[in-house]
Amino acid sequence: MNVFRLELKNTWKNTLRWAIALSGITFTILAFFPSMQTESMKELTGAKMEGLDPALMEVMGLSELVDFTVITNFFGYVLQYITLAIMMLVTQLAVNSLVKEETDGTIEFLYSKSVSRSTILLQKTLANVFSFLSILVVLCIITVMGYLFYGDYNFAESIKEVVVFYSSILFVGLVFMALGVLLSTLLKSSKGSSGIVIAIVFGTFILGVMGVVIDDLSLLSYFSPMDWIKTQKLMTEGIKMEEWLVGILTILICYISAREVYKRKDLHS
Amino acid sequence: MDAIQISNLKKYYGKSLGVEEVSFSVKEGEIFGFVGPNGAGKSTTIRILLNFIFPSGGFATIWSKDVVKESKEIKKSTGYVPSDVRFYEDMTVRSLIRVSNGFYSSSHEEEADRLCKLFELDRAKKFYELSMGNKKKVAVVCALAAKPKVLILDEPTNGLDPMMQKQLFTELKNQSTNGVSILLSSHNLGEVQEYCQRVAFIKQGKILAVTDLKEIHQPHKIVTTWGGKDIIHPSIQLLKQKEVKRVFRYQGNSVLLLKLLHQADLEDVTIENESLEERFMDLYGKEEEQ
Repeated sequence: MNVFRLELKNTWKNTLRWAIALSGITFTILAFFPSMQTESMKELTGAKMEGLDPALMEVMGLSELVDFTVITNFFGYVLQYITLAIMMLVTQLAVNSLVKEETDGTIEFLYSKSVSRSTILLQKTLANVFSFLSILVVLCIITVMGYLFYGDYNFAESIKEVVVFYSSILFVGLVFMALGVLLSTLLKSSKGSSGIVIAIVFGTFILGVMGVVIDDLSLLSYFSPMDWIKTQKLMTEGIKMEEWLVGILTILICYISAREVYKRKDLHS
Repeated sequence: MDAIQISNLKKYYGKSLGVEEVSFSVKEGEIFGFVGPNGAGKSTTIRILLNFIFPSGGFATIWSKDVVKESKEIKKSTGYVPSDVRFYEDMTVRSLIRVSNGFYSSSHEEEADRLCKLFELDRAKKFYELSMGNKKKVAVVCALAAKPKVLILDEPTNGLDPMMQKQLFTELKNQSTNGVSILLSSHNLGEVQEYCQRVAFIKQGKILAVTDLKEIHQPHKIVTTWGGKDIIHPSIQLLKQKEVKRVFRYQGNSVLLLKLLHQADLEDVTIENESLEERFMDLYGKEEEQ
């Protein structure tokens, strides 16, 4: 597990920074919840939402009038934007795991040791999954604390709901991570990788928006992982069987392809 | 048994040539020099040996193991010092050596301690704090600590001060006496001549010659004459002529040489042993003419 430990050693500071930033944002947002329950705020949000075009409501992940005085609705709505940031983080983490080391030249250290490329890929991916899980665990704890402080849920209810949110984010994150791993083996340099990561995450998000807005393109929603975990849908239907299938297939295909590409890849000097 | 064997190795990057028809072998316990100008194909050959890149043709083996198919096995007993050492910047020297040793089945802490003392390495420093020479020392310690049977060194003395260069070569000499085979890529012809048994000259991806340096230790004579008549004899070869100055290479006994020089009625003459540098310039000069 030498490569696994080395990867964690090299990424823990970045992981910690993200965990602190996301926790701060999450807790701050939850701190606003009590103000959403005031009568004036209820009227204001209600009036604003009623005035919105239904298509725009769909785009914003609000398929029906949402009661923001319920903490699940309030936090679930904001969580989709936090999720976007998390997806960018995990995709970037995966993309950088190989190609950044190749660009920096540090991968030569590993290549000169008795370790196969498949093992390097596997252990680096596992280390990134571990970092991702750590961030989610921290966010789970912070969210439960927020629910208990600012909401009217008890501990068991809070845990139950938060686990549903974050386990679905874990699944979607693994899909983006698999895409990132494949990309990492295909790219020749890490320069410009941030742009590609943003394009992937927002690109799939926009696919979902098109699937919602244009009836003929509704199939596109299956290719938008962010759409699988829209809060209202998640709380009523959960992740659909077809979405599980697309996600698991994407993870398998991307990882197996990445492994095959990486085994044959020349290291660019 | 050959420690390293390279046969007809080819590497193309798209349409451009990396190396072509590279063949040579390194014997057990030998220090083998690998010499050529920048971009000649030295690093490409080394990168194929270490499976950083894949050959387009031919094959290479280390201890009879294929460098592509059995790379993991080969690296259990192969050390590598890159020309440009780019390790993890935020790690301390101590951590880097520990991680490097962690890839081998047995502990090599004692050997790492000995090498750190030998090369006067401060293990508490972070890698980014080190000078180029000290970074090179870290790579040398990581490569040697695991007691490899084959060492591949790409410009190992780059950045090292003369004392440390001497220290490194004394260590390499000891290693080779103990049976370690060493492939030494270098621009420094002096160090190659002093420490290597044989040397391969590479240019534009092709091996020009593999020379046994014993021949250079019992060298040809480089004779420079001014004025007088031409010297024509099978054992003497005119290398260059400018006005009255002529430069010859001579192979034979001294008595005959003195007799030929006497007959030529010269104004002045100098006689020197041919160095590796002259051999290098001669080989590369010939190629330029072609």
